[in-house]
Amino acid sequence: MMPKKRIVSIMKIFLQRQFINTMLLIALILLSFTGYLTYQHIQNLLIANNWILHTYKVIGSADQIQIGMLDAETQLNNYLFTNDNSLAESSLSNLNVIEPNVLILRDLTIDNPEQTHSVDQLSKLIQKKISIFHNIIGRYSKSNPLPPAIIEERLKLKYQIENIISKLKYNELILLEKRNSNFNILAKQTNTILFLAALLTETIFILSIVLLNYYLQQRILAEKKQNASEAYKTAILNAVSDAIITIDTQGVIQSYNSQTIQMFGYNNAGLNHMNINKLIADIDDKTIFTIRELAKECIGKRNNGTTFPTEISTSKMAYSDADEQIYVIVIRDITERKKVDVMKNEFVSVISHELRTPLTSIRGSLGLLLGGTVGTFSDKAAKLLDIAKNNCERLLLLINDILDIEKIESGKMHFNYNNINVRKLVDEAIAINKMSEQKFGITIKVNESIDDISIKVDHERMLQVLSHLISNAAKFSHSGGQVTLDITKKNGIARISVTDNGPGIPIEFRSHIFNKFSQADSSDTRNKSGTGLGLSISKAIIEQFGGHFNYSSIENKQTTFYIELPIWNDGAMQLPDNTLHTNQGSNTNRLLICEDDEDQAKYLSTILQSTDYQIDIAHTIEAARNFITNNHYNLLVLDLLLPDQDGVAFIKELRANEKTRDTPIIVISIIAETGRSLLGSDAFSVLSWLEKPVDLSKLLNVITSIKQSTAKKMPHILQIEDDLDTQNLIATLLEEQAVITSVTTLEETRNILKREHFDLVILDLLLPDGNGAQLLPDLANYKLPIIVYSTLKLEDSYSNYVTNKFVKSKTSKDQLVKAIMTVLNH
Amino acid sequence: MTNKDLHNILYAEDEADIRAIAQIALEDIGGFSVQYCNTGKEVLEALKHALPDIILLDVMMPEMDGITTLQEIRKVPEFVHIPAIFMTAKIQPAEVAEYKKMGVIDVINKPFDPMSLAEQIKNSWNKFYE
Repeated sequence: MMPKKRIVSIMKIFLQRQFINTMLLIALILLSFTGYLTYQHIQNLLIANNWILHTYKVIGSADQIQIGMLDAETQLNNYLFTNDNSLAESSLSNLNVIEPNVLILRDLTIDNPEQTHSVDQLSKLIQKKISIFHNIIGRYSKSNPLPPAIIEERLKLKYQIENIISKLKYNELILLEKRNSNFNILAKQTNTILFLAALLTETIFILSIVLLNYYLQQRILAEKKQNASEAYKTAILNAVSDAIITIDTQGVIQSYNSQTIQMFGYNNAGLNHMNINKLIADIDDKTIFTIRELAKECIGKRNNGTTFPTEISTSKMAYSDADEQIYVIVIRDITERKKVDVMKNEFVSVISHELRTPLTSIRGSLGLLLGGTVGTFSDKAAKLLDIAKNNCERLLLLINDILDIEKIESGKMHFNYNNINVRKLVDEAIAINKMSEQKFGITIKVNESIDDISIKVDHERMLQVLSHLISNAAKFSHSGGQVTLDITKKNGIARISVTDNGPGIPIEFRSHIFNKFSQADSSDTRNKSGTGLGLSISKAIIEQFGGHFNYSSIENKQTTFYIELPIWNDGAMQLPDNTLHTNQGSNTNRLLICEDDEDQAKYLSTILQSTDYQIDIAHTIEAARNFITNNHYNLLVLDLLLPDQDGVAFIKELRANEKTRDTPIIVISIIAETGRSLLGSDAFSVLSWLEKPVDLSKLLNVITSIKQSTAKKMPHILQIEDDLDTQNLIATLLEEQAVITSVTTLEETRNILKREHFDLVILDLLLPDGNGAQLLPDLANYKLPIIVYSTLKLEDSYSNYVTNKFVKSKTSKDQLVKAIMTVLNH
Repeated sequence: MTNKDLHNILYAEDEADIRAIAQIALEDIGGFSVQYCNTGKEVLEALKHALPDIILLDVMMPEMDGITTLQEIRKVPEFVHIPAIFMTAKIQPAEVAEYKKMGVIDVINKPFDPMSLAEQIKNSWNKFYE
């Protein structure tokens, strides 16, 4: 028995359409041929049959003649006996009838020469007989009997005729025998052929049935598989907890999963052909097609009219069989999530309320007591009450701070930005803290000031920060000390600093000064009021404003906290004096900003003008595309939330486009982090992800590094120098023109030369493990240009190895740099 | 509007301690005549009997909070014109602005200073009737 697999594979061959058709064609031909054969054979049978009949005819005819003769004879004899004339006539007529028969016979035997000859003979004899008869009848009668000669002749003739006829018949009988057997053979052949034809037909039929059955079976199996797979996929779609809907370009629903029915409260057929805008309340027809990658929050409408919050994302379906583009919409019911959000918000509100309520009572009672409305107290009692009230205040401040921190960290602090004059803010903050002057015995004043600069901040929060700094400064000043505020500007950045002459910030504390609840002094006997959150909150707020918050401190001398924020005058950022000019010269570097908020776009544009880029602004992705088609850009600054398309998808598009594949992209968006995680493994294709509001210094740093890396590759200099000051000097001099690696000993030098490539060596001679000159041969091996920069003078014999030599004390910085650059540029 | 004098205050607050403090602040220090209610419902009842010059509403009250109570008050034509002040622990400027939009003439933060509460109310009153 053949193994099953082989059968299956053979069957597979048989099921091939071509094979089947060919076989059927062959079968058809065979059958036709068989039919033809059969036809032929039956024709032959018919012919054979005809010949047999022919033979019988001949014999019949011969018999007829014989009978006729006999009759004629008998009649004649009777006439002779009776002399009845009628008998004579009938005898003659019998004879006459024979004639035609002979003719017939002649006809019948025309194909057989032997028989024809016999017939001819017979004919002659019969003619003779007829003439004899005529003779006899005329002449003789009963009274005149026949003479013996005539009788003899008559007899002789009779015998002759009979012989011939017998001969004829005999020959025919032989023929008949032959023809019969011939017929039988033919009949048998025909039978065989018919049998074979029937067999063939039946075989073909059976094979066809078998194949057909097999084919049908396979079809059924395939269908089952298909159904199972479809059922599986449908089960997946139905198991998903989100509603999945497909729509065409008109928004008409093509298909949906079971969750859709449940979510929106429709029965099974109710969603067919409905437009999707019936399910979503606040979305216009175009927007549904442009939400991609990033989900959008919308309101879903149920069948019964109720609404619920949803999150919707759209994608294009890549399905080549569809006539038109199909979109897949995924809708998530975020009612629970919203509830949790609401609960969280409520939680904070509730906490706030729950804590403040008893505090109100305590504070109120203490206030009334201390206010003297219900009587006076002894000094001691008053003091205790005072303590209670102060701590109450402290508690209140703490609650406020904690809530602030919570809001900042959850990103829920809301700011109202306005352009505010810096001097005004500072004066306000001082005014708020006027009491501290008396309380701590200090003076607060403004020292340096620029009165006409403004910043874009939230008024209340900025005051909060300034106030906090001032009160800190006051708290930590010695009695009689001074708290100074300075307002300065540099490069378009306003700087507000608060300085006190207190004990300064201890070194151990500096690393966690901005942490929550850290307060410097544990041993300080001073009144440690303050929540420990102030600096944390202040820093967070200033950073939200896009600025810098830091301090500098000299122990036991002074501490300065400073805030740096970009200057906004007349609603526009001021142009900073250029810090980012590089000598990149005339190559127009173009920059494209894609940002839909006009203020933001202007803001970015103004900052970035200092960076030597020629700037274009696009407010939609469509516009950005147009710009990109017409121009070449060296840098793209992209927001992610744009009106006509989502930024993440656009980034993917840019990276797929030859023209923009390698263009550096900086993303500035409120959802920068989300966008980054959405790009996933492609996130590296974006140079920098910056959250809004943008940290200026970060942005400028990124751009600087872009420029540096797009500039000519910087030369790598090896500095062999053990003196730190010289190292720093060289590093500063060559800051933006070369990458410098420093080593301090001969041994280090030898090691590093093996590992890295350098373009130039700056060599000191006085090294810890020997004279630098010892390296000259080694360096020569690497074919490196060498500049000797040392306090020692290089021996003249070595001069050949060296490109240039300088004595430290006698060489100016400029000379050194010039020499270095000259060597490098060769 | 005639510049009335402020005499009668209707005060809604569910916390007994705070009411006690407010009593001293308003009656002893401020010299006002104050009617006290525990809940929003009681406010509506009290209004049926006597109309105060001004209504002080604590925002966070159980069952019917200050906002709902105010809405109910404003539904009644006789009460529509009575000025109201919210007392709340919520101090975010955004929220305060929201409250003001609802038709109160001022929002007082909790914890309030009992020594100056009366003055605060008087100032708001005067401002309203300017």
